[in-house]
Amino acid sequence: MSDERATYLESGAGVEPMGKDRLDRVRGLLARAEMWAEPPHEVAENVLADIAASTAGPAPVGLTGIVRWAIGGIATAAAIALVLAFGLTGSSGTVLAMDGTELAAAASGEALVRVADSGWVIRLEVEGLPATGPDEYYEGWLWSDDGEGVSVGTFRHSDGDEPVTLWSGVDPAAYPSLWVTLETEDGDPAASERVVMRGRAPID
Amino acid sequence: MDAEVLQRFRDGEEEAVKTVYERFRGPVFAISLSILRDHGLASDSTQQTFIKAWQGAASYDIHREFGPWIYAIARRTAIDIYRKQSRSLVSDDVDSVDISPGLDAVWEMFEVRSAVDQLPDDERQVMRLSHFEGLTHAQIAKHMGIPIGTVKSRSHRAHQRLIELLDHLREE
Repeated sequence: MSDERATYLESGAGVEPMGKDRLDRVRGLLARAEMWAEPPHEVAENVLADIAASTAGPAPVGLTGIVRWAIGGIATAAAIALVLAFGLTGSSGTVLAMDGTELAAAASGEALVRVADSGWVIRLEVEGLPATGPDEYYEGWLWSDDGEGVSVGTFRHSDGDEPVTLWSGVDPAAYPSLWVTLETEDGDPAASERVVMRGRAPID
Repeated sequence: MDAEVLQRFRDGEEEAVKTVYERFRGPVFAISLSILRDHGLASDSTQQTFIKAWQGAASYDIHREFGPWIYAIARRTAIDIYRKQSRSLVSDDVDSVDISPGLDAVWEMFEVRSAVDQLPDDERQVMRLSHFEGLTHAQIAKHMGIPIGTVKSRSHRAHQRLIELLDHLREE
């Protein structure tokens, strides 16, 4: 019986087996693109980043500006005090506090940085950031202490926007400053001087 | 999906999340794509599905099958995205949303894709070339650089395995 059904499923020929109609539908499904399509690789990374961000929890109130990229294996009371002092939360990533500059004084938020297979995922959650205009966009940058900047992605923003996922191919430990700039669609790939948010991660 | 993995999934443990994702990404993406008909939206829907599953894991009864549970989340998530994209839809009842394919067909797709994803890679490849690409056994043999006899045996094994995985089809 199983052989009959397998043969029919394979070729649509042979003795008509029990459940022929359903087998016909299965054959139809096997010919559809959805049956063989795969989600992009970054979906898995984004799922892990979102979960890491959720498990990290909110940054301590009133502690902004000074943060660290990573502290692992902390379990003692002294270590907990250290975490509070540096505003770091979570064990699956590092939460970096972001402050608005004078160009976006009401903006605040945090960035979760975590390592992934293909680089570093930066999940940016901000509020109070002005909406971008029709020819404008925001761009994230990691800066080294030598003044070298690397773009980590661009995004548009409006009130109520969901968190933004940015990607870095360089190690944030060597590029400890995270900036967000307001850019105009003018074809210039360099960072504009309109810095709207900054965060900084001192390196041990 | 064993209980230990699901428990660790609930705890947000990275390896368990990866395991659950690897096992169900295919069927979740397949039904998302069938409802939304857009790879970008289907990717967003797939991502949201796994986040929601993790967020709701505490409410999941570990003694029940995981597939139907995550299927329900995936379907609802895709339909929610579909509704946001289709401002003309006014119904709050997701089961009445006019989507294509129908809900039975969506579940059937989830089941079949789940079964296909459990096949060994070499058997799945033969099945894809045969059913999706429409190649004959001889063409598959040439394409894969293997004897036609091997193609035939892999194909037969794959279909038998699929029948076993979709055992409930026997009852209808």
